[in-house]
Amino acid sequence: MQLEKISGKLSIATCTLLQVSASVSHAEEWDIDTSFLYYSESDGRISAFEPAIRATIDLEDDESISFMAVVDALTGSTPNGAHKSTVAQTFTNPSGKDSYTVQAGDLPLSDTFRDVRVALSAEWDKPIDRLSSVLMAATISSEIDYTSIGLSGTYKYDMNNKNTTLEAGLAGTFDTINPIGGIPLGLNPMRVGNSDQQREGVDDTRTSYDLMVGVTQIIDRKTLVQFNYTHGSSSGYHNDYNNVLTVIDPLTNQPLTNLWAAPGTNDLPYLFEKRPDSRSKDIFFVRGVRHLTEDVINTSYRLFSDDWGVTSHTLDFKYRYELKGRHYLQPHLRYYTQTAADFYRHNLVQGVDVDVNGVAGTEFASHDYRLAEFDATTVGLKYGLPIGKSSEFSVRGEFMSQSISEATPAGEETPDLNAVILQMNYSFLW
Amino acid sequence: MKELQLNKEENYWHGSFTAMASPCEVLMEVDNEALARKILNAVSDEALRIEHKFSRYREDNEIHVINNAAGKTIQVDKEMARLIDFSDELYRLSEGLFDITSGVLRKVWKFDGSDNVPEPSAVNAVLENVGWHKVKWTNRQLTLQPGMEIDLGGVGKEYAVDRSAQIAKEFTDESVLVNFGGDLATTGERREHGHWSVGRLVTGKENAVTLFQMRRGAIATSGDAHRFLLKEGVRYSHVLNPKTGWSVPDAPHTVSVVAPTCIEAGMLSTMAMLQGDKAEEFLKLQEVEFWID
Repeated sequence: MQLEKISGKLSIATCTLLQVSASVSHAEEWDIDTSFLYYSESDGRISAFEPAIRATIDLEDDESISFMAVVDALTGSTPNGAHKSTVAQTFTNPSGKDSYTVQAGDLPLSDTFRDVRVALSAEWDKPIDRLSSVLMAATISSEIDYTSIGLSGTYKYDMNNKNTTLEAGLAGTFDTINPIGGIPLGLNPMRVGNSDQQREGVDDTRTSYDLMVGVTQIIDRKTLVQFNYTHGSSSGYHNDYNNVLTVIDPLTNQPLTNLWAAPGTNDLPYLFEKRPDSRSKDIFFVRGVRHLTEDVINTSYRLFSDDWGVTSHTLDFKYRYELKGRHYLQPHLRYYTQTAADFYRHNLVQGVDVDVNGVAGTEFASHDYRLAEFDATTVGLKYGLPIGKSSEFSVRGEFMSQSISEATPAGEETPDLNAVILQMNYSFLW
Repeated sequence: MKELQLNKEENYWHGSFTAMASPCEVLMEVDNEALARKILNAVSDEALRIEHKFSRYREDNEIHVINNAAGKTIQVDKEMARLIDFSDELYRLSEGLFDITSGVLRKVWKFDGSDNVPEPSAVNAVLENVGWHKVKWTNRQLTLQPGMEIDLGGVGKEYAVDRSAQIAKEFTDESVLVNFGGDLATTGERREHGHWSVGRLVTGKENAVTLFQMRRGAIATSGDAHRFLLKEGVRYSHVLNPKTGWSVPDAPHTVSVVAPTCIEAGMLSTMAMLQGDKAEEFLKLQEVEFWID
């Protein structure tokens, strides 16, 4: 035997031996993770209450099953896509039932935004042999105008004495959108009341597929690196039927008052948005975890790019600072930036984008701020404390500030968005 | 039959029992007796469980089934598979010097202090049944050639120490020291003193003890000053090279290594012994604290 330094490889092998064995003792117990999340946007926009529970049981031979339930209760109002104006603006709800008026100088917000989403999911992690396993997952999620079913399968393969894990996964998501009153036809005018809103039908669907490949590599006893690449493509209905764009008069720069060629219709100067009926995206993700003597550094970078012209970068940094007696503090810093979608528009201009009959000359357009160029910074702190030997309570507070970059005339800016997130987490064995 | 003893020392509880043919100790810096007793019970249960499961002297365990399979393939349980995986990795890391099939060499080597060195022909005959590369090991399926045996004794005690320390840590954040016949591990620093004082006998000087302040981590010792053969002025240590079937020349009497876990300490000290006169050089390369006698 050549004399060489083997202590690094030896410590990794030991880690594998002892880490896995440590979990043997807790069989037949449910690992329960409960959380309650509160999310609140500034200026009375959306608030969300989100209780969630996850229960996992380890079966024989590294097999495990998990069940999850999440309830998401949303209240508040959300921008409807029209921009601020120096005149009061009146809108009809997408259902056609009610109308609401937004005062001059205010950002138009869809005023009644209440919804409850319930999501149930199950995961089954099943080893095939000593080195490989399959993770199967199914999710069903439902809210008033939306139903989604997701199925996924991930194959994991350990090699290199379990220092390297290869993963490949396929996921399919099947969504049905069925708004009250039906789906407004994209790039067609919003109308007063429910009189004769042009609709494409009562519901529509979207199908998405994601293909993921990844590798996780243990570099040494204290360092782990993970790479993931995901390619996704979706087809079907991608619009947000709650969203419109303002059509302005090029002479006054105000929402069009003298509507179309034949006045007297029930049209309002807003067109429902329309997006392409397919989207293809690529995501590259890299993460590094480094254990110091006691503390842990967790850093990740995510690159997202789609064929709508949106490219985003996310940098995430967490530092887990171990206090005495297994208490810990974890500061969190996240920076996100994205470019706008090609069809992101501040508004549509009569005579340029929309003809005298109210027919749009552009194929796609949206003023959804989620498709705008923006960046967002999140700063947070989490505190975790053990309760007994196998339970942990943690509380997390975060502040997010989002700033939209959009060239707009004075008085029409889409305001920045601030939000706070509070989360409590309690996990225990049962 | 386990006999547990628990005594209060000045600022810790001292538990003792016998397992794996060794005196076992658990030192616990906890305040109440009930907790100390719980930890001692859990640790001794684990030590006896591991002894029972991995002992090659029993006839009612998986090792016995494996060693008497006569060429048949045996499906082993998860924990056994992890230990065999670990041994498989160690076989590669040591380039064949650490080999769990080498136990059968004991049939010709009896280290009783005599001059009873075996004949080369006898060693060669037994060597037929040694060699991890002759074993088929995939997906928890183990196939040994008839006549071959495995012995996890080379890692079992250290594994028991680390497992026991893990179990103790589930009961308390206070420092616990587990010592199974000289192989020991701590779960963390002590409240007041910061360290445990560990004595190490100096080979050849019966009453000489060096004291070592142990803050965290583990220590394991390989070697036995009393197990050797002496023939025509040549000392044959009980450390056998599984590739040649012969005693490793110039092996140290004992090697002690400090490492984060007892398994690492034990493997490094075992592999150092197998290096013979290069033991010290090998250990310096590993950048660990060690003693060689």
